[in-house]
Amino acid sequence: MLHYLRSPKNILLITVIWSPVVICMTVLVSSLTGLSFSAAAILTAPPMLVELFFCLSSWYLCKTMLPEQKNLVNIILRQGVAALTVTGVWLLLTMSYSEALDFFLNTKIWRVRFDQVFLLFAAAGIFLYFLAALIYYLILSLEKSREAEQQALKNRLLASRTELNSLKTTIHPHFLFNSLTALSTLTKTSPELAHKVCIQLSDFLRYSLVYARKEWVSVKDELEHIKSYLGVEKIRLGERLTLDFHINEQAMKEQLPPFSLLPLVENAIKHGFQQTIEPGTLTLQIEKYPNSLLILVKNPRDKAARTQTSPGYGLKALKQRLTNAYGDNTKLIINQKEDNFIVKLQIPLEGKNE
Amino acid sequence: MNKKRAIIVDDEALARKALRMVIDGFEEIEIVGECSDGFEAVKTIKEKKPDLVFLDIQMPKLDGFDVLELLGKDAPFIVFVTAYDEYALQAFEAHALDYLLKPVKPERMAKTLDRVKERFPGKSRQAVDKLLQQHRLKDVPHKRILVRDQGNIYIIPAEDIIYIEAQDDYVCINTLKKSSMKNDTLANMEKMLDPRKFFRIHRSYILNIDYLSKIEPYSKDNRIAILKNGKTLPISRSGYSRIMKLL
Repeated sequence: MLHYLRSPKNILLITVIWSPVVICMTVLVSSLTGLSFSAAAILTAPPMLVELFFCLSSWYLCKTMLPEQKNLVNIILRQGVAALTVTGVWLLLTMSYSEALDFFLNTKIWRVRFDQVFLLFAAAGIFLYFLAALIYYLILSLEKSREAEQQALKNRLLASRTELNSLKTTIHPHFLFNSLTALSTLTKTSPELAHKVCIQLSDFLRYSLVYARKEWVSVKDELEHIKSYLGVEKIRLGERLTLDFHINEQAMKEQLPPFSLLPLVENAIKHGFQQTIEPGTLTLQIEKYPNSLLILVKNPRDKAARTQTSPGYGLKALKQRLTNAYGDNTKLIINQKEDNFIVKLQIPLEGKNE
Repeated sequence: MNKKRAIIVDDEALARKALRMVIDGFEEIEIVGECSDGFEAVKTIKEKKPDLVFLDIQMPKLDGFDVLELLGKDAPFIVFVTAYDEYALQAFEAHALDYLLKPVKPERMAKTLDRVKERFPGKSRQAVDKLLQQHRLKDVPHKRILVRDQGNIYIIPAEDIIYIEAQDDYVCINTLKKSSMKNDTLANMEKMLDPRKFFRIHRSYILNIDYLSKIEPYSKDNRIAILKNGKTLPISRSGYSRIMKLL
């Protein structure tokens, strides 16, 4: 409640709400006792100010007893006890106040008047307490729904960011811009080839967008994907890249998580072909064994390359994804030799973590 | 009008062609050479002394930064060209250097050429030097050192270096096979190499600890290092304490 009281606007609002309550009480007291309005105000206004603070402080009690945490009967009982206690204390204070008035003004009328309105005060105290509690529960539930809304919004944002990140790891901006540069030349020099590259690039992008949502894809689909990727790279690298594929026909129908092959060939391009001026061959071999699939990618390696070819982020992320999918049954072996680089990936054909 | 002579450096043939097609639209620029790798670029730029080089950053073996390092004071006005490289873009922005993004737009090229005219012959020289200095301290320790010796470029793997000696404005890098001169300071070399292996044993020497055989006292305060190949190097007092701290 305190954070609501910090703003002057809210204090004004509470005053505006509370003033008619005080006036109503004063009118009631005056009609019940036959006192003048001002005399009734002397008896009523100060205790009502105290009552306001009692009502405000019940906010904290409400916060400890939320309907979704405790059952309703329990809450009503507890709030009832609280209402009785608070009102009791308040009546006691009000009584002391009337006696104090008698004492200081040297009269004997205030205490008698208090006795006359005792029942009214008691009823008003309990009623106001419950009213305040009701308002607080309303505010709390509003706050809660707003929080839930914000949380939902935050979750949506997080989800789209994750999607964007996964997209970024499958489509490298560097690859995209370099391909578009090559394409810009081809559109003028050889439109036929440009057309072909456009189709390959769009196939590649479509796969990245559509297949990212799937859980399993076939080896055949994955192969199409890396073929469109390598097709575009071949245009850029020209003579520097020769492809050599050995794919076992029986492996084609087997399933594996999407983007299992791309990081392997991307790694070969990035750490192999883009680091050397010499022409070389990228070998991709897929074999089917009774219980497993073996994927092998081989590329030349230049010793004088700037980056010492340590397995990049892409391969580490692939290993993580495969572990999520299969548990510890996959093997990713990286073999760095003097002049070539071999990555072997073995994945089980059964025993997916589903 | 005096045409500016330019060279295009990019490892991808289609990217070179793309740039050439854009440059062809500008009469004031004449392309005098195309290079497909850093080695060729350093050689061609030295030979042809162009006014202007369009330099791709990402290239195999020697990238744009390496080419700049090897050119040293011979570097002409450089226009950096890159497809997408957050690091490079940040560096260019930080040093207020002009760069082109691939694929290059003709309007953007026009702007760059205007700037080239304004800043000719080499106001950006200092900025490039600063950029290079900063770049060389990135990704340390370096696993290789680049050396240009007459017409040739050598890539010396760090593990092959036995010791480096300071000589005036140069450093002399000694390996088992040969020794080569590089226009650089010993302090720079110290920063670039692996501090767990390379020690400044003396004001004028950095030693690869893998090639150290033993240390012997020489005079009251001085010691000498005897290397595995029999060569001896002086060790200063502070150099000695630096070695002892690690051993």
